[in-house]
Amino acid sequence: MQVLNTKGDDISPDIKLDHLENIFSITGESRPENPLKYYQPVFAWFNEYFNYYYVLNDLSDTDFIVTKHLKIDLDYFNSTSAKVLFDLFMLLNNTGLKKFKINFEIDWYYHAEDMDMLDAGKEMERMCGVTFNYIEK
Amino acid sequence: MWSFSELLYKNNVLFSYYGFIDHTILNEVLKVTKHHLTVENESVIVSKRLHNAINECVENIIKHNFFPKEQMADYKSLIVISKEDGFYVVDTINVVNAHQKEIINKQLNFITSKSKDELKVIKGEIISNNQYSEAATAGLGMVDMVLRTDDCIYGFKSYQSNFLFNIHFKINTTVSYAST
Repeated sequence: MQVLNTKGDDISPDIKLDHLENIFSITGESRPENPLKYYQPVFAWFNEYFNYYYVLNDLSDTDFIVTKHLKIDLDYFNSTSAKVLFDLFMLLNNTGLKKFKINFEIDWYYHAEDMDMLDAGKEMERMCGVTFNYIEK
Repeated sequence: MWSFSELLYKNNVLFSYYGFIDHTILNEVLKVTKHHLTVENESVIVSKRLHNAINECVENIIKHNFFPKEQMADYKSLIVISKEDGFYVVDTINVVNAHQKEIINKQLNFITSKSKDELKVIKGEIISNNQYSEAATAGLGMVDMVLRTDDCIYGFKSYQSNFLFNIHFKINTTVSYAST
């Protein structure tokens, strides 16, 4: 299993998914020309990670649920990215938690003055059923 | 030229662009606007709302570029960002064909007839739709744009064998912390 480390730019976020260091983060600005294509490796990585972690830690015979944190620290994301992020959070909930007992909580960062970003997180949390932690920066 | 300059001065235009629009131009428009807002010491939330509105609006223009590749440079649009009486005002004009006019008109008629609360619900429904396709997400950008702005007005004018599509909206600079 490989670490996913994607360097972003003005329109695409930095993505770091590192199972060795337990770092899971998406940071920056998200309005890539093709969000689905940009985030596709993220979906693939999580699907592989769930299997990897589940087998490695032999979670099949236990009721124990592992909790991990995905950091979402976006200055801005466009409406199409919102759709992709929603799909990602649903994957974490439906596949990660319900199938593999890996509970990803979302650490949702927002600027103290940016109530729109805070509201967007709350709306996502309501729709996805994933636990969000709101962190003012 | 004088009358054009006077028009810009009198309307307190912060930024205007006329020409071909693609993602490279969009990035530059957003950078220049961000710089203006930083110089004006604008609040974070107003700056972000304007950033979002311009992004969604111009992405919509890019999406509707129906010109063939060899004529892409002829697909000229106009973006004007000005400031008046406590509002940032965004106006754009681009060329659409008859089919696009029909779709845009139908979408905007629907979207602008809804309250902000209704738009929130509609946005949630589009985002949580299981499908990911142009059809499934159609109108999401426009819903978001209208949701976060005020006084959205739009119209069409015949232009050669096509139409000029104008959309106009405002971002309030004083109700900084209103929840959307």
